[in-house]
Amino acid sequence: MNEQAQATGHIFQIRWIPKYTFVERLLHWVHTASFVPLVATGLVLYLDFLKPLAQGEAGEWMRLVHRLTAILFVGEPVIYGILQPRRLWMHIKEFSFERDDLGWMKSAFGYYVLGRHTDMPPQGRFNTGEKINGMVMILTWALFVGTGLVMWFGKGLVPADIFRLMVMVHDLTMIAAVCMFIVHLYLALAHPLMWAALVSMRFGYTSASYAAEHHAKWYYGPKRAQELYEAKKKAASSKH
Amino acid sequence: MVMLRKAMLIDESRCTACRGCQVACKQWNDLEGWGYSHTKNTGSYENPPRLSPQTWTRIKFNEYEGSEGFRWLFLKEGCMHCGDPACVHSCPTAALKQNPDGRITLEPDLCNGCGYCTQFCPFDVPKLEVSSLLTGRAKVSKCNFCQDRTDNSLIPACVKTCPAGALFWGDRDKMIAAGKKRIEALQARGFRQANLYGENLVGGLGRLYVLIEKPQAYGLPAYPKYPYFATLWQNLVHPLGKVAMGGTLLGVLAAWIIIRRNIKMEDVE
Amino acid sequence: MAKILVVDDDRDFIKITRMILQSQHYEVITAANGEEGLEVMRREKPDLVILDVMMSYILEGLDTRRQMAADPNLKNIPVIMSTSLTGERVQRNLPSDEYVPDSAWLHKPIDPDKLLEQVKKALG
Repeated sequence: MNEQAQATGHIFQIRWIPKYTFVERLLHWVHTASFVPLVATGLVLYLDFLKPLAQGEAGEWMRLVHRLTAILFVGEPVIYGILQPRRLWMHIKEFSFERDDLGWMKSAFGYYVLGRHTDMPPQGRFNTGEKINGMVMILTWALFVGTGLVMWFGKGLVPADIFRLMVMVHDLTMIAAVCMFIVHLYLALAHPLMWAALVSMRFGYTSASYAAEHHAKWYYGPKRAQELYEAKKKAASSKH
Repeated sequence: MVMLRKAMLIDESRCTACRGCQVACKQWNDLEGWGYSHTKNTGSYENPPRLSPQTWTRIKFNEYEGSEGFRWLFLKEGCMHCGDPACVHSCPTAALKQNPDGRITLEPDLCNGCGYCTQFCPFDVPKLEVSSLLTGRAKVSKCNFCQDRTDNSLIPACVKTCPAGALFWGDRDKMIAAGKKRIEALQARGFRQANLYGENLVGGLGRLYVLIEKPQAYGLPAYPKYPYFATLWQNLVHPLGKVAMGGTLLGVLAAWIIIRRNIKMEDVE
Repeated sequence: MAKILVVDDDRDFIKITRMILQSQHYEVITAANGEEGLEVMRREKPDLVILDVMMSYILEGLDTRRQMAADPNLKNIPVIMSTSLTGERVQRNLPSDEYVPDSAWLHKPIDPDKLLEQVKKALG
């Protein structure tokens, strides 16, 4: 490589890689801005110490805010699908799991908690953890919307045993979504290895060095990423 | 609680279905009549056709074909004031309350119209009045044993007005005793199926019935139970959910503390 | 008239570039990724290739360029690299220092005049 470069080389060095379009980023933040009030206004019916906020007039306001925000929450992916259907479909495909994802699951603790870099196999544009997050968000969105619509427009009309099933599923979905959100928030805001994730969601660009390390399959292509990974592992084990 | 508990005894062997109780209830509790329900004659003497936020009690005409031919079995419907009230346990605003004397009352100012209580009543009593489907504004309304009367040592309006002497109000153990005595007398007169309904069901009902036929003949569930779904939801899902969410929060906090020691920013690409 | 192959996974870029080139009566053929591009090149022998860098993976265009250089049938076809990646020319201690044989560069979003200027220059 070096001789060829010196002979007729054009050096190409990348600093920033476009990762998320404006529409994607906007809708991510709209999703965040709608999810948080929905959880907050919903929790008044769930946590005992918030009971005063659920009663009477306060309860009216909680419900109104919950419903207005819900319109945003429901509409956001729909609008995404209207504005950038190709990218939405690409996203949904990217969240699908493959055999490679098992590798991430085996190395995740060592990598994220102990900082062992060499253990983590190459990841695509979304690493397995991000795929899990994406899947959970898509699934919980669908469940929230399905049960929520029945609870909204079926109140007083739908039979009692269907209504209570909707409430139960809505509750379980909330628990899953909130737990996912807490983990998501930590990784996005406080984990040292994930620093570029927030930058890319705010500005749309990710750093090339970050992508080369964390999303090697997306950066180098699956073939070369695997070669580099095996070379790295060999080098690491030969040191021992 | 057993000593202080009050109850209503409804002797269906004496009820003549005059519906004075329906009228007295509406009059005392300021509930609306035809202006609200606009009921029509559907070929039945029953009116209104079901309990509603503006109809807290009503007489049901159960058609019965017995050994002596056709007969009506009248049933005075209304909140059963259960000893183990699923509605109270599922109410997230504490609008529904179980009083020390067993009456299940509702404070309208606290009710936010969520409708949880309507999902779990084994007798399908609480009814939601939805004033707007769009905003979801709603209130629940049901028999509260004339709370303002019984709070002041008066008897419920329906009991006071009954001309057939079929309704009684007092200490629950006295009502049970009186009911059992009546059952004995009825059985002696040939009413073999006569039974006292509500003594031990769902924690013991506050509304007790002297029935001359089996409960099913009146459209009453023979073995109503505290719904297991409510137990599942309130006693399993809710606490586990809180543990899960709180645990995740603590876990993430712990992770933050541990990880910032293991991974230094200077070593990150 | 000259035959130009545009290799890019972005259908909108293909559409616009095709419009611009056809307005000057160039013949335009397309491919959606590096492998397809190489196939088309070997089959159609275009006079010029406009090659996107970031396709299904970031360095795909560079890999394709290097494969062209290694193939005796393809190494003499002039190439214009197009990219939206921001780059540096000066070698510093930066993450990737990928080498490609000398090519012309176009930065996205492309300026139609610059494109036509580069095409004319590349075709000699």
